[in-house]
Amino acid sequence: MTTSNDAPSPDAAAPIEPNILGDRLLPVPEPEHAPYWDALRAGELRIQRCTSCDTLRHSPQPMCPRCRGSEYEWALMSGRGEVYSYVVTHQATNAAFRDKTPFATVLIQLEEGPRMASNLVDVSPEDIEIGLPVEVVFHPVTDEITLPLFRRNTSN
Amino acid sequence: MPTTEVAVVGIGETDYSRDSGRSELMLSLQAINAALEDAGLDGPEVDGLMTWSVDTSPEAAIAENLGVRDLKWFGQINQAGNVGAALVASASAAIRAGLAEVVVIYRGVNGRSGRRYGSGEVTGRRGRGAGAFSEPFGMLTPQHGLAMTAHRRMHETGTTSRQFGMVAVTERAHANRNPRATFHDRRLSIEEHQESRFIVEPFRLYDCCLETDGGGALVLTSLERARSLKQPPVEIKAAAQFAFAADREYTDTAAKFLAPRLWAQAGLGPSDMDVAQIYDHFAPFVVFALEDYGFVERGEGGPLVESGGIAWDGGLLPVNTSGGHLSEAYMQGMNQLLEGVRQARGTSTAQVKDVGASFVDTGIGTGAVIFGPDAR
Repeated sequence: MTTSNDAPSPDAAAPIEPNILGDRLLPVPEPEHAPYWDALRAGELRIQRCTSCDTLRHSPQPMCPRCRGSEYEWALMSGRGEVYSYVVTHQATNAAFRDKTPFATVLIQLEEGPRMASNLVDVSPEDIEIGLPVEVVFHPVTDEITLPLFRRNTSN
Repeated sequence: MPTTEVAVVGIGETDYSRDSGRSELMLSLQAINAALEDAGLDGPEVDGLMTWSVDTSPEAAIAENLGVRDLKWFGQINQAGNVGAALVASASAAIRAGLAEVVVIYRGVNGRSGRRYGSGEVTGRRGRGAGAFSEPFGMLTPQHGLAMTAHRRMHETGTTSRQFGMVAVTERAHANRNPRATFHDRRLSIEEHQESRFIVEPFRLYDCCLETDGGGALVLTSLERARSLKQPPVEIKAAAQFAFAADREYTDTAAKFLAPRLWAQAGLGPSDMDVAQIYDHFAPFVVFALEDYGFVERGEGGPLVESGGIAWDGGLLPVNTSGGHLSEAYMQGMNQLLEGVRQARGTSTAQVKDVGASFVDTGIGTGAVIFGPDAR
C-alpha cells in the first residue's frame, strides 16, 4: 500500500452540522471491507485499487471491471475532491433521519477519480453548489465506525 | 423452421386504491382472471407464468388457483420494479422456442397499505453490503439515487424543474380522462407543481409516483393462435432488456444502451412510434428517456415537454396516456404495458389516432416493448 502525509488527520475534524449528527444509520461492514473501515478509524481514506491494472473502484467489489483481477490493495487518497452532485432530503421515512431534515447528501468526486456518497459538515444545504472544492474529515460514530465526511476546501 | 410471432391476447387489472383490503395473491388472481376473460381463455390452458422478483405470489401458488394442468415455463427477473418489458421479452422467447404456449405475466402488490417502496423498506440494505457506503449518509430509497443522477443531469443539460413539472401536468390531464386513474377527479396546474414541497430535492411532491394497491396481468401466445381468440391480436414487434454496461457514464440512463438494440430488432426508429408509455417513477426520468431513446437530442426533452409535445391530443409523441405512475397507479410498469396494448387496440381513454407502433418502456431502458396491431 502507498503511504503519504497528505491526508488530513483525525484532529482536523471540523464542527459537525447538527442536522447530520446523532443516531445515524450505521454501516454493517463486510469482512472483506475491514481495511477500508480500519483506515478510516486511523484517519485515512483508502480506496480499493486493482493490483493488476491500478484501477480504483468504489464501492468495493470482488473483481476488477477492467481486467477481472481479484487481487487488490487499499490505496491512500489525498482526501480532496469536489461536489459532483447532491440531493436534499426534506421528507425522510427512516427513523435515523426523520428529525434531521432538511439535510444534504453529496456525491463527492475524489481527485483520484472515484465518487463516493457523503455529507458536508460545514455547508448548509442551500449553500451547496456542484463543483464546490472539498476535503475529507473523519467523523467517529462508534468505537468501530468512523465515517468519511467532507468540508469546504479553502486551501486553493 | 418458421419464426413464431408472439401477441398479447388479454389484459386485465383490478381497481387501484390506497388500501385494497385483499392479499397480494388475490390481487394477482383477480387481474389474471380479468385478462383470461378478455382473451377468452381458461385457467387450465395457461402453461407459463412470469412475475417480478419483488412480487410475493409464487408462480406455483398462482398455478394452483388457476387449475393449471402443466406449468411448463415460469420465472422471475431479479432487478426491481423495472422488469415488466424484460418479462415480455422472456415470455416471448419461451413461446417462440416452443417451451410454452400461453404465458401470463402478473403483478399484484399492496404498494400503499403494505410494504411501501418510498420507505426504503423494500429496497434498503440497512447499511449492509453496498448500503454501507451510501445509507449512513442518507441515501435511503430509490428516490435518493435517482434524484442524485437527475440533479447532475440538470446541471449538464440545463433542464429545469418547471419542465419536469410539465410531465406531471400533462399526465394528470391524461388521468383526468381515465376513470381507473387514482387522480381521475383531481386536476394539476404547473403552479401547483412548482409550489409543491420537495421530497428529495430536486424532486418535488408531484414529480414522484403514487404508491398503489392493485394488480395487473397480460396474456401472451403465438400470433397464429391469437387470430382465433376473442380480441384483435396485438403483435409484439420488439422486446428487449438491459441491466449493465461497463462504459456507462454517470448521467446516462439505460435507455442509451437499450435503444440501438430495440430499434434494430423492430426495424423501426423513434420517429416511427405513434405513442409512448415511459416508466415515470419520477417525472424527470421521462425527460431523460425521451432523450436517451433518441426521440429528441440530449437537452431537448425538457423543451419538448414544455411545448406540449407529450400531450395525447396533438403532441409530437403522446406519453403516458393513462396517467402513468404519477397519476393513474404505480404498478411498476404493468399499467404501462396494459396501456400500450390498449393504444395498439384503439381502446385507450386518451386514444391516439391510427396507432401502428405503441412504445412501452418499463424502466428508463431496463426493458422496452413495441406493440402494434396485427399487420395481416
